[in-house]
Amino acid sequence: MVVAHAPVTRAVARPGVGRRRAAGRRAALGLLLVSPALVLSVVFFLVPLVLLVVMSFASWPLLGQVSPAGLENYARAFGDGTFARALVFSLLFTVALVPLSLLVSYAAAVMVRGEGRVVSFVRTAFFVPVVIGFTAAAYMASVMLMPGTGVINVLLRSLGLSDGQTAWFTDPTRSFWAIVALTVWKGMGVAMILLMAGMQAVPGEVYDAAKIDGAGWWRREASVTFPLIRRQFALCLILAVSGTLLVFDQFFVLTKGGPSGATTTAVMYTYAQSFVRYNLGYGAALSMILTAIILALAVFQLRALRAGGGEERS
Amino acid sequence: MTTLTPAAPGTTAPARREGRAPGSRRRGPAAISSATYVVGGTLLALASLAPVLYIALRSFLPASADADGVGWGSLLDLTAANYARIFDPSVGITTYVRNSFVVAISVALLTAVVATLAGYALSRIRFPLAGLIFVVLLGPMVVPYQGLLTPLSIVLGKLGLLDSLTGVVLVLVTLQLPFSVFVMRNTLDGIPVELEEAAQLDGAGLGRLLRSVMVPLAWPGVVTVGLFGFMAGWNDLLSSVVFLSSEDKYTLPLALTNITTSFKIPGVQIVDPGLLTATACVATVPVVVLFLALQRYYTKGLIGGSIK
Repeated sequence: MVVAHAPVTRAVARPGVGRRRAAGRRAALGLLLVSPALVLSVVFFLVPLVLLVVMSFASWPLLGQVSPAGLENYARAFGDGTFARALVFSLLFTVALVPLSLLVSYAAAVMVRGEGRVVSFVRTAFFVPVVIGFTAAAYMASVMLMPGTGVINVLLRSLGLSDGQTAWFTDPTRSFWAIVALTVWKGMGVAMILLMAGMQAVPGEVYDAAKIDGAGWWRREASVTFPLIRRQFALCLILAVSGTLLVFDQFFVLTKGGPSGATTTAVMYTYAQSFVRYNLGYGAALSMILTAIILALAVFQLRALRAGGGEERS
Repeated sequence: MTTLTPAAPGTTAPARREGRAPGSRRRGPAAISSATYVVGGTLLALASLAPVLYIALRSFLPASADADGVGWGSLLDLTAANYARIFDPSVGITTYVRNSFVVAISVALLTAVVATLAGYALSRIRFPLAGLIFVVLLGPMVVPYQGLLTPLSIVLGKLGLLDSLTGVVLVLVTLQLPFSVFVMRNTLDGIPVELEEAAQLDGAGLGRLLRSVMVPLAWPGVVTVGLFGFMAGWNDLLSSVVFLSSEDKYTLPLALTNITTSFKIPGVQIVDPGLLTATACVATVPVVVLFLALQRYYTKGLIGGSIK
């Protein structure tokens, strides 16, 4: 804990003289302090966002003439079977990953919400995968899953579950589940900490009351803890869903979208349209559609969770 | 800002409220005994670390392990040959490591400074449009940045920042802002106004106030924001792939993808596990070490951002 260097005296009522002018100065100060962040956000977020909207309504090759295209890009996107396939693949990945990942995070949060040296070791160990980059983690997985000598194949062979020659990333289903496992391992730590924080903030009295009422451990978890950490859970769910829909790194490294496009994610396809084929306008339209889907899902989740949450403050 | 009271599993103590704390940190009794917890928890923790430890071990094995696999016998045969190879000028990973450090450290420091200033303004000062500005700063959280890559590369091109580490840094800082400003504002919200007023009465100016009072008190938030900034810079793949084109500017994750592809025969991916694991370790060790060094802060920092 850091100790303030300032002498801690009791607060005295603020002087009223010149208050208005002081308020004006403080307002200017506020704007000044927030301006670096604001400039960055405007230049590297708002401007590109506006540009994205404009581009999505234009034919925008890398070199050559930019021309307005109306809704052409969108019409093309809705008729693009490959995009639909990539989108469905990302959605499937999200549907498979998010419940599993949140379940693991929740269980981990229960394990690490206490205090003490072992608990804090466990917490740190569970969080370490989060700090590792997805690229490095994906390459680690590729070495561990190598046919013949990869440690996971060796383990499976010694357990008699496979011949140890499984080439995980040449088969869409196998690579899908391998990457689900990798992503759970790599990503569950953040939700774990957020849920843990929520659990730690539940007042002890509530538990004591539930215990006096004879509620067992599972009952207390289900009827006391879970309802009280709804907000954290909603945050984790929304972060997980939007993050997972945008999956890119793992598949980019491990399958390159193959075999024959079977594991191409929506972001990978958008990336390919924009930066491999240089259909910038079309890529922008695809991005707009992705953004719309993610916003819609986020709103839907918020609604659903709020509807179920009764008078929950948000 | 609460004092965490150690709660051995199985004990109940009277709950305590203090100051602005969200509530007592006291837990109900754990369902499992502490011995079971120590054994089970340690095993699970090791399982979580196992892939990292395995890769670290693998990176010190000679080329013979490519065919023979890894066994207990391998422990007798450790060698630094893979590291000698990746740091050899012919592979030239040194440049990538340096670039990654430049990006990661710049993102960390810039994010921490920018987010602390903005967080302070948003937490403490009433100024026009504050609400709107907060929403703008949180914007990148809602709009997937992957979608913005194309227009971003145009903006960077116009600013002359395409294919430059500065461009990557500024983009990554912007992407870190929603999380970071949120964390800093909430952390600063948790610091009693009285402390600040006392310092002001003692004649401290804004600079001194921030440096000597607010930043030390908000330190877990500042460290967390910096740590996550470092992680974002160090681990970034997508921005580097899209915005960097000359090889001397490549960052480590990009180099990792290159190390496999450069050993590729058309159609067949020949992966050199020794090179790959050594590079993966180089890409992992700094960020893990930094995290372990700062681990006492991140929980508090993240909590400052999620619970009020």
